[in-house]
Amino acid sequence: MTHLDDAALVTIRDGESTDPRLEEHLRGCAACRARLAEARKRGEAIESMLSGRAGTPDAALAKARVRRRLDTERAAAPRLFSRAFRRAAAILAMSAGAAYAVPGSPVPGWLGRGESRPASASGLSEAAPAVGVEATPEAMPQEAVLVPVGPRLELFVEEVAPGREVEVLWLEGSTAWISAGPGARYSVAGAGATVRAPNGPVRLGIPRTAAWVSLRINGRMVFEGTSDESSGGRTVFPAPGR
Amino acid sequence: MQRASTLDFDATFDANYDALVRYCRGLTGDPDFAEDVAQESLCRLFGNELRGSPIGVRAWLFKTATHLVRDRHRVESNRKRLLEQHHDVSAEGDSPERRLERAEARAVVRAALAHLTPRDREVLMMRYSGFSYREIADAVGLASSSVGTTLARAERRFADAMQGAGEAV
Repeated sequence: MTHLDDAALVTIRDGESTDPRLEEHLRGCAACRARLAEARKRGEAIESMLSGRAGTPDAALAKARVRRRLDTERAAAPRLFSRAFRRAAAILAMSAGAAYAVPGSPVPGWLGRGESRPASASGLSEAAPAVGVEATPEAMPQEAVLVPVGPRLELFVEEVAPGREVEVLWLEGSTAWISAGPGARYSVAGAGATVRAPNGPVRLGIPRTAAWVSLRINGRMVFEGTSDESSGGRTVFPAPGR
Repeated sequence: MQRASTLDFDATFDANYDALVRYCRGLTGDPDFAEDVAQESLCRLFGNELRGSPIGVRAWLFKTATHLVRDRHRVESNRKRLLEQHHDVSAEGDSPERRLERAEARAVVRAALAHLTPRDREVLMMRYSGFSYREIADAVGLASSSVGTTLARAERRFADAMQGAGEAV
């Protein structure tokens, strides 16, 4: 075996090596042992430089600031959300309408297959059309909207009866979708999608590859992060009340 | 992580804030911005009433901070709002000499970190914040098997830059 490279040495140094051959080589190679000792020394020096010299932030002040902000936001939450939602709805309406008018825009495809229809004045499409922008994933129900997946995916589920379940399926594909039964209204714009689902069960298909997902139900954040690896492919969120 | 009952605010804050700020300073080279990102991450954690094991919470916070640094514009708007709301009185207790000394030390480290690519900086800072290779890979979007290679390169470049500034590594 040739000598260990730098990557192997730092991996061993950090206790992260899973290849027994590396350890075996190390036992018989004085040159690599010397380089490992250098890597340890360098690691200690870097640790000291990065942590010791950075200075200590004023944690007490920061804690007070975070606490004040949380208190302020909690106190203002219903009013702020309502205002924010109205603003978002207006933006969705404008952007959906504008994008619909652009030749080649995928928005008509997202909002309806075959009989493309513009978004309503509220920015919400009335029906729950299936679409064919990309190859339809197998798990996708017949009645659903597709949501483009970028680095960030923001999903809003509204008007769900408290306690009703919202089911998330973590998929292997690259397409997100929302299915919310009859009477649901959908809006898709930018990195986000909104569904108002007063009647049906709500199911969301989200690719595991989505880098960052946030999900709000009835205005409450119920999930933020990457795919829920511990869920076994399915997570159920009871809808909170307003 | 999923939403459930709230975390212990003080314990979670105390266990994570300093390390989070150091990590963000290393990524951004901007102490004020680093503190903003750390606070924003904690606000999201508590604001969304997330919970998890201490290790899971720590990993979530660092991952969130990594995303926030990448999405700098989003945080800066909140920063302006925070600055408007809250008068900053940090470092009032330090002597001018001590502040100058700290600033110089930070400048040397900051300049060395600036020689690294953003991804190398993230990996280096997470490693020296105590994260496992798997956690690092998850946070920055690398394969676990690539963390060692990235880290070795980042350490070498950082050490070279520090030595170029007259600091022995």
